[in-house]
Amino acid sequence: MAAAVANLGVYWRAIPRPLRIVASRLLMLVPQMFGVMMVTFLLVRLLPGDPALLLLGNMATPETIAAFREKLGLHLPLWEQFLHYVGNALHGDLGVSILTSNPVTVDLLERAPATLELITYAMLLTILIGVTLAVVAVVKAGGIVDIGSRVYGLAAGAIPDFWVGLLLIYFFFFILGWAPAPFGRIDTFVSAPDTITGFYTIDSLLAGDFTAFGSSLGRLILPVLTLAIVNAGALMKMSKTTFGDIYRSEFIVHARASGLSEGTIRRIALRNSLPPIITLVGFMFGFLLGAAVLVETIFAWGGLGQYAVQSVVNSDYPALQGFVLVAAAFILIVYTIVDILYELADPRIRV
Amino acid sequence: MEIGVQTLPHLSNGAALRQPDNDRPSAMNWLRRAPVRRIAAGFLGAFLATTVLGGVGAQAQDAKTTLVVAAPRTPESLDQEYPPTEAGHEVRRNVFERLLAYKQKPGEDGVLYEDFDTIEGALAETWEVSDDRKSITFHLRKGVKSALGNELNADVVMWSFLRGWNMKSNFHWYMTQIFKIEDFDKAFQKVDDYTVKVTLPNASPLIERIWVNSDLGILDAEEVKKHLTDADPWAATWLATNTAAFGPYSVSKYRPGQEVVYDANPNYYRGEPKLKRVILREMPTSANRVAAIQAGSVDVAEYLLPRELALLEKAPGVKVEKVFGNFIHRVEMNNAMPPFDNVKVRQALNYLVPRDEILKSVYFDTARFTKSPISEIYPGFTEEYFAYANDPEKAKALLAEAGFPEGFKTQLAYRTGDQLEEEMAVILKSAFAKGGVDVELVKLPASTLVERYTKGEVPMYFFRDMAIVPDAAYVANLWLNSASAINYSKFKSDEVDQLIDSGLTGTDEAKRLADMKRVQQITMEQAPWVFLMNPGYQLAIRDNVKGYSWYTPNGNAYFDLSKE
Repeated sequence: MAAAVANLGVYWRAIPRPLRIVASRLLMLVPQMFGVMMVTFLLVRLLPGDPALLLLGNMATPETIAAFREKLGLHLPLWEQFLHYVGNALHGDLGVSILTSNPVTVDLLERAPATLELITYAMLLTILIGVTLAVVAVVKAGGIVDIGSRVYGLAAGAIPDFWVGLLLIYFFFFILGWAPAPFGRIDTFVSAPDTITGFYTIDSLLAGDFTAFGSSLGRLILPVLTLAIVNAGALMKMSKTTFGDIYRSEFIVHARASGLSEGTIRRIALRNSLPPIITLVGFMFGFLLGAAVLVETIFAWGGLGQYAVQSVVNSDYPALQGFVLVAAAFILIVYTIVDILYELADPRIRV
Repeated sequence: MEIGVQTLPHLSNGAALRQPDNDRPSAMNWLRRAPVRRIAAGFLGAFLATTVLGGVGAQAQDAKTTLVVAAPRTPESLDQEYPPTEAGHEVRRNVFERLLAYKQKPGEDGVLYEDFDTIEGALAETWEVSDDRKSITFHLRKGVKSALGNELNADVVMWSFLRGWNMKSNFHWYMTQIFKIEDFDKAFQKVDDYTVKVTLPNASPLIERIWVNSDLGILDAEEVKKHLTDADPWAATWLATNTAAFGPYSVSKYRPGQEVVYDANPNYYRGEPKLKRVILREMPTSANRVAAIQAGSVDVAEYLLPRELALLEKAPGVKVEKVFGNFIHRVEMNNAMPPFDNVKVRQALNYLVPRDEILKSVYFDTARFTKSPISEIYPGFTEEYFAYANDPEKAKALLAEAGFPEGFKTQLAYRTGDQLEEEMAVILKSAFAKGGVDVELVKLPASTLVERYTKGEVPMYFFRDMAIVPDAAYVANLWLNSASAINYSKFKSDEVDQLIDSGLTGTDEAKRLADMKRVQQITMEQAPWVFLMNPGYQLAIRDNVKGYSWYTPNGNAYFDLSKE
């Protein structure tokens, strides 16, 4: 037995390091996902509230309530419900949402790209704003950008995203009329492109439909700006500290003494401060999924966040479980990628 | 624009045809001499003319026949057997046609209302009720076609009944709870190809009215039957996300959480709707629905807050339709839980309510006082027995008589996210404090609140509801009969119970009205609820939208609307 394990060890070490990193991380995902499923199932059932009573309203009689519960499978004992749930989930069946009458899988497949598109662009803009401001503030210390970024850094942590969203709508849509109407991913009269990636901006380009592209891009501006304004502050502060330390470190002083151009020096300093920034970006990407909830509701985005809010309020168990499952999977994947990148980047970490 | 788009292709065609043969070489010369850039410009021009102008032209044409609606949420299901919700009622009104309807009559405010005293045939052209009011015979309109072109006949109606009965939901509820039908085969009969008869075990005063309900639409059975499976013998899955019926619209796109697209039914028996397409967009934030209608991005905005409506009334291009419909907003007290088992305590709280203040600061005068448990728009309503002025001294005296001279501590629960209830709760807390009643405000998610008051665990909670059947006995039965499953306030009066029971079976209309007057008198004296407001139903529309109508389920009927 010990020999077999030792043998396995030999085989394992024979695999190239990058593959080993990826394989071990991916294997870990399976028990993690199962754990998430079990915990969410139990937690959701522990939530107070009864969807049958809420929905039936005037029609509530003992018989209609019983029939409704039976339809949802709520009449079975908890463990049996869970077994059914896991069994069905393995076949890709997450149940039918009470609020949309659609299979939860269909709902999620439709909404996940909406949210992903929103937070991906938000993340890109956050990085652009955060890192640029940080670099300029450090390089031109004491300048307008430096002072401005301090004020922004203080404010960004304190202002709530829904408020920023409503202000942006008020000024840019309502008062100035520059921004497109703040509801949904695409203009009411423009039909959405056929689904390839689920990102309207990419799908419309692939289809060569520039009207749809323009419309979906326009609709992204305000919500993406909202998320970026609120979240870039934290990234900026972090980047500023890291980049500042490195920019003033001895090897940069040495580089400057050696006569390297300022541009090259800045590039070297930025490259060396990337690892902690990547970690934070990974973390923020996961965080944005949660932050998007309010922003989606305000902009009627029709994404996962809006779905989650409604399912909580109305005790839509299948939908809520589906959402938590997808959110958990998303965060696990993002963290796994960050871990893999980190381990690849830092040869000192043993697998 | 339309003309330009249509003639452009003709022009180019015509020019080419009229060109004499001998001119052709010159055309070739032109081509040879023309720089590439000019050809490209020509192509671009042609492209713009066909696509961009075409688009604008199409939109200008659509603008008059397409209505965009901003709604707080899309319907949960398209099936009329889904539990009744506000969004669901609206689908039913527009997609499903029923056997009977109320005649429409214009109100003084220009809104089209239902005339509850005059029933008309809808899918049933005529009908007869037997003298003992135990059976009703429907003679179906001939030549009526569904949105898909299938014809209405007795088999289609019978199958709709059969499905409703077996789905054990809304149809089944009306038939068993109101009509007391126990056996499907005994109750429902096909007489001939265009005649259907329904026989009840007992006489019912509601034997006609119930068939007006939008939950009792007739399905296009021919189409629905194509989607039956062994696991789903009544097409519950298919009908949840698809429609097949005889109403003015059919749903061509159902994307819950985003939008629903209604397309006009060209075969509708009252004629093709003027609005060919209705696009309902989900916009959960009411402030956004306001911004959208002000900017003209949508034509209709549903369910706005009174403050927003007050703002919109002053906005150019927008008008607000206000109906004092059938909603009743109240605080229900748990009549079985001390101290609310004491009628004097319940009356005292009613005397403590500053209704004028609530009306002004919460409702911005869009509401009216609730002066009866029966909706004010329904036949049989009386406000005669409402005596609850804001009178803290009288309240204190009543509390002292009840044995609470120093007041007591209690809880008032309201729904998370309901701004009106939250504002009213704060006002009520300080108002009740004037009588020494110390109220703890409890904010709960809707489903949690329902579960808790169903179990009788909440002393006081907000409750906003309406009954879609305009009949006092029907309404009283839902909320005041001690046997009703939704009498959550646990109000019990033997006399009220007995009057309601006879009101549901008796067919002497004058006696029924007198009995219901007595029920309102007892209820107002017994004060099972803290009577608050009739919040009404309001709809913000662009001022080029005409023909607003109101029906008891409060959902909008797009057939009645048109755009100028």
